[in-house]
Amino acid sequence: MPEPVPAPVVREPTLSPASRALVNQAQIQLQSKNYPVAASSIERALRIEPGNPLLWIELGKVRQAEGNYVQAENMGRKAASMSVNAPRANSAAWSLIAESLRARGKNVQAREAELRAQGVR
Amino acid sequence: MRALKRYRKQIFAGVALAFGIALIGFTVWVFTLDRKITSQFEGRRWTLPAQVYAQPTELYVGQAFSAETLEEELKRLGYQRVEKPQQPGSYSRRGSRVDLINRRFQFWDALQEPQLLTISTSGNAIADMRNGRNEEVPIFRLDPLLIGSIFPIHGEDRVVVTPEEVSTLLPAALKVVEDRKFDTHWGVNPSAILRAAFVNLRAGQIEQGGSTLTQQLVKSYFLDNRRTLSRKIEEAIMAMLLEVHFSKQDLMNAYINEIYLGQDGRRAIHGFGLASQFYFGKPLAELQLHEVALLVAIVRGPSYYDPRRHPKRARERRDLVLKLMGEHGVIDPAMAQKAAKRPLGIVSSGTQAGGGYYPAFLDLVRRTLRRDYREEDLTEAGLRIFSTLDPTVQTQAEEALTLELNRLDKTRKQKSKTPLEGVVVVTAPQNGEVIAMVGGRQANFAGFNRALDAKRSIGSLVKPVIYLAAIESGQYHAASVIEDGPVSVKLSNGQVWEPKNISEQYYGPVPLVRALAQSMNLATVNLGLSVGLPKVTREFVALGLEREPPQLPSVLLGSLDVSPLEVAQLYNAFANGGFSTPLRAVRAVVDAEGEPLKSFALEVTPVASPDAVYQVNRMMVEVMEHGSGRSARAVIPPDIVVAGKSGTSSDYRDSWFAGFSGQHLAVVWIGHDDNTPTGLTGSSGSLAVWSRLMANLGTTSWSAPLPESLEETWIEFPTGLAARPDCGEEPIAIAVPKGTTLPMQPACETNVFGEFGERAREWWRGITRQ
Repeated sequence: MPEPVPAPVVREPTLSPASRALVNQAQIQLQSKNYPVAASSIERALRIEPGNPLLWIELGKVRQAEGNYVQAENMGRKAASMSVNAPRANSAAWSLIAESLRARGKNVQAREAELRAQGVR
Repeated sequence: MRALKRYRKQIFAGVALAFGIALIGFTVWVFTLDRKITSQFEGRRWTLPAQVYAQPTELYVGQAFSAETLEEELKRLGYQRVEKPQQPGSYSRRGSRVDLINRRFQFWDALQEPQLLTISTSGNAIADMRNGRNEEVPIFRLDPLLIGSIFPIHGEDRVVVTPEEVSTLLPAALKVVEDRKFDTHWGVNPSAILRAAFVNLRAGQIEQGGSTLTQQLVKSYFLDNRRTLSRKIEEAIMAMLLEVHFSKQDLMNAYINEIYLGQDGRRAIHGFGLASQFYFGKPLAELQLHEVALLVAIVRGPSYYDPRRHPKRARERRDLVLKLMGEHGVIDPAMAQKAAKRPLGIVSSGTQAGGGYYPAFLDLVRRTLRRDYREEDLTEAGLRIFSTLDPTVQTQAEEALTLELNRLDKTRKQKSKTPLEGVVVVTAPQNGEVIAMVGGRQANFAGFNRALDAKRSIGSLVKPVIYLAAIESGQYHAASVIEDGPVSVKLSNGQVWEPKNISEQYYGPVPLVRALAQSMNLATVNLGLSVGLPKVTREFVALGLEREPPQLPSVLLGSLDVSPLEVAQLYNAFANGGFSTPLRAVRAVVDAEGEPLKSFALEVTPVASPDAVYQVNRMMVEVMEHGSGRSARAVIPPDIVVAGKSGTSSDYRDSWFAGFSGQHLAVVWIGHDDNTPTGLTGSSGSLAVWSRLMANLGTTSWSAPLPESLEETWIEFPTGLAARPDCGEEPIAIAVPKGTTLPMQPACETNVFGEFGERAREWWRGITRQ
């Protein structure tokens, strides 16, 4: 008789106040299309919390905004590998991957990534 | 007589002609001098070496800073402790509370204006941070430490200051001590020259120079120390010409930025801006009276009055400067007396701001930038470079290397004529920033940069790459059993290759995890040959090695010449969970006006299956727990999980250790420059440096979430048979693909797999506190 598989512990990441401030700052810089400076703000946050997938997603969004879809996807993959136990962050990471793939015309792979973002595996 | 009379006209004409020609010649000469001096003065007045900054310290609630650490940090930046901070660059401390006013600083991405910060610490962390309006400040960057500059071949280094950055004390002191008639003379001071000539005549040697500041400036511009009469005349004329063209204020400012004030190896310290950093570790604007007086004292003879080598002489002259300042009404005589009681206040030249100078790291910065900039741009154009160096980590890396090398030189059995050499490279694995680099035992000696240029055989450091290739192939997992037995490979040249284990024993069937942890050569060769050499050599390139290794079986045992920095690049991919990120020493470059020129953005690229990397990383944790890295456990706190691998090249020529925690990746190499044997293995040599460094860094655990496709299970470390935490020989928890079935240790037969998988996971979580 198979044993019941215990549910994995869910740990959704949150941003520390310092990271939150830097992400807010980056979003303002992003509005004025100042991509290198916005990325620099997120990188500061990443030095404080390198293991936080939300920050990798934020950095991916900056890359996406400046049209660097390869790096956007890679940041998404990095975030996805770090958020196995965090469904919400994981879904956000896969959405970023899906969007980046779509922007490069890789529609089949984008569709697969979207399904993962929706939790269909 | 008659003849004379007769030719009087002609003689007169001849003399007049000669005189006329001489006059024209003189005028032309003066004109040339004029062109020379004005173009020198007006054109690009100084070549400005690029300034290199360390990474700035970030302050935020939760940052692991006690009040002591914070104070040390501020002292390192040359902040002055006061009762109540009023000026930028000062702070006060009351118990666990620190108040500071930061310096104005132009970062590559923002301008940081000075503001008052009140920081409360609680134990070893910042608990609260507020500005002058009592508002919470979530994050704040301190101005970064200036760690050096990229100066040209002739070695002239300087930091140029504007008149606004100079306290009025400095020009006043210079005038009183060097040239009291500066404000009124026209370049030369005849009475001073006469006086000096008289003094020198009486003394029979040169004791006093009659040079004005303007003459000193001319002399310094043309780098000529000959004291011939014609030289003196030329200098005097040029000084007068300068006075014609430029205002006194311009000349004073030029003097302050030009004059030679000390020597730091090959680096010549020019100008008061750099001298202030070099001797006091802080900007010129923040110097106090006794410090200004010392710099003015040094002008007369930077080597004779070197405050580091001849503190007594320097102090006597400083006090004389103070006395003169008092006598001539620059300052109140009482102030002069008070200042004369202060110590010299010099920072040590080793690791501190001014003199501190990290040749190996700066060399990496220079090489990075040489791809984008011409040498002249770096040494002349006044670029500002924001580097990734963390001075605290750098200091600890230098200390760990020096201490352990001294110990090893004393204790190792195999004595050699030359002392051991070593290298340490530290990176932040998640973003690939190189945060420390020690290029040799004498860290501040600029010479052969072993961290970049010593390409040495890396021995067993290759093994994790082979195991990764094996697991990625899908044929193996961490508990797969391989044979550690005799190997014999016929090479293409007809020879037969028969490698051995270091112990010269055979271990028989062993699980992958043990073969890696105990660095078994024969098991690894068998594994590599079964996976196929092309897969293995390609894996090196995927992980970041620039050139693919030759497809030779000996590569499986690490006969592969790689520099410590390249090893760091390779291992960074493991520490970063299978993502490669190019190692960086520079974050951004801005031009002299503060405009960003270039930023080196963080890039990540997936290069290996995260599941396979996770398994190998867990195996590298076992290296530290049960294998060749075990001795580190006596040094590193028991709750800190680290992963790593040792490496030893043939005949014990190279001792390597590479490994990582959550925050730091460090690679250590020890060997001899002439490649003679050291008698050290990776574990008996470099591991000691590595563990001491990791322990001192106060680093965090390596941890990563278990990938979905894997599960935890217990096996016996020696045999690889399935076991239980309370049953079997040396049971360990490892990660294997879901659904893997392992033969059970017969003594533990009652095992129910799922339950123990879960207990393994709990055990692992207990260790990593996930």
